[in-house]
Amino acid sequence: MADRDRQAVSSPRRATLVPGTEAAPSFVLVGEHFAAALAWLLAGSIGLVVVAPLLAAGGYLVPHVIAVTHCFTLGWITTSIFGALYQIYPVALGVPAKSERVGHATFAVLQLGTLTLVIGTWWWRPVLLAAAWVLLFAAVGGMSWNLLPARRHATRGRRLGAYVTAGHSALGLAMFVVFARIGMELGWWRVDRLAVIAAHAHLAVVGFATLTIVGVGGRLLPMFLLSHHAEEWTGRWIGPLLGAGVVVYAAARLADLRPGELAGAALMTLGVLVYLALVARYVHGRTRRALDPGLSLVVVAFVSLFCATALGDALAWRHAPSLRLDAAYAILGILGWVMLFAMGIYHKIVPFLTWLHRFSARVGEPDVPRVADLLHLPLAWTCGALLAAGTLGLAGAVAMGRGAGARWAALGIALGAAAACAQFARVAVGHPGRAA
Amino acid sequence: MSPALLAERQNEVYRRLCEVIDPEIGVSIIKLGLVYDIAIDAGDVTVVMTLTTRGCPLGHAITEGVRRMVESLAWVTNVTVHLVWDPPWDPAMIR
Repeated sequence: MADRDRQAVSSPRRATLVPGTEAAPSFVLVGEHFAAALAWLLAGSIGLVVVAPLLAAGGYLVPHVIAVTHCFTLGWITTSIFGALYQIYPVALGVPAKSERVGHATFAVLQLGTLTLVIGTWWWRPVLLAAAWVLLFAAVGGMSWNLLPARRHATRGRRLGAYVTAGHSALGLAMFVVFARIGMELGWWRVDRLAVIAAHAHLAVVGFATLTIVGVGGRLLPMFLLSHHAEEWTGRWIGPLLGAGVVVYAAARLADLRPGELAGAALMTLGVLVYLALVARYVHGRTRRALDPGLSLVVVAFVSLFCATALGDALAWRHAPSLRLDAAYAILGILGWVMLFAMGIYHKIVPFLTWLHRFSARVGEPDVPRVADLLHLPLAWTCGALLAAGTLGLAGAVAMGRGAGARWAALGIALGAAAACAQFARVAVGHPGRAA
Repeated sequence: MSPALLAERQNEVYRRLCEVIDPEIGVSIIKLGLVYDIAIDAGDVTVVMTLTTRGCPLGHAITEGVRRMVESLAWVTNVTVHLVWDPPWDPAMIR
């Protein structure tokens, strides 16, 4: 037994904290992010019901659709990622954020920026778009300043730190790219609109969201599945493949270099396949055989990632505009992959954090619930089924150009989002007893 | 302390630790194989244990639960919980 690895927790109550957990922020900081993210999810899914027929007609460049898209990408996904990172990143690296006050400030600016962007795109006001860009840039910059430099002082969790840093760098690039689009609207210059949107979307979804998920998931998935013994050496290749792929693809799209586009797409595909192989090892080698609602949604998210990758490759090779298939690809990537993954993880970490906040001082007492007892299981399964079926149904209906089908599928997503909001409100304020 | 008394007290501590449940997994820390050793010297109890993952967010709650449960034994005057990472926990350690 190595003495250097030994930490003592002695009575009486001057006990030291378990290394890493002292770096966790207050429950309020994470809670406000998650509450706002759920509100955005609900707003976005209601908006999706409105714009679903437009999507089925291939109108993914219509301002209303772009506004709804950003309810999901900035409101739901980015706010969720920032909230989760404030909890997970300091604990994993053992170094706290610089300032919790800055965390609250960046949260407020992110919400204001997202609201401004959604309003600006819905009614198409370029000045509002520019103001939103400034606010969002400040929010992302503030978050990065507050959290990411901790990596320099970390003695563990370096891979997670590298993935999160790379993800934020990609988000910064995505923001610079989209600034070109805003500048075009303001009459400052001319750019290839479709190329800018493609580069922006891939940098945001593959670069920011996926790299962050790979980094954070490398810690969470083995923990939740109890698959610590899974071979992870391939993990070091996923980031370089995805990161290089998305940068090469975005640059080639902007420069209109077809071989570069294909090379970037191939690198991203390879990265995704290596990642899915790693995830398959986690799932196959798990000690916990039964998958709960959260982990089941995560598995559906991985299936969506595979489908999105296959469709994306087909579209890249075809190299002919197909608005409906492009929209279906975006739905599989944004909703099927990132939204469902985030919702699956919510079903794990929201009860987890609530339990820590409310019951951690009572371990050993007979009436203390388990983390899983905080969830209403039928509601969780219903939420997962509605979101998964709605998302896959929406992608299918949009690909086939079925407006009515798309609206029904979007309604399923909206009901799933409402179920999620009800679930997590119940987790936060309910008083469940110990399960038998 | 006679060997019989020592064994009896170790059993008492062991039974108390069986009541400390990992709240995420829903299994006692004894059954999970997280407790490596229990040492007793008069009223001083030292529990050597690990966690399922380093930097586990529930770690503080679990070690405090261990301390509280062992302290509740009448003859215990001091509890020390040593967290170790070597050997690292593995699902194969589940009993």
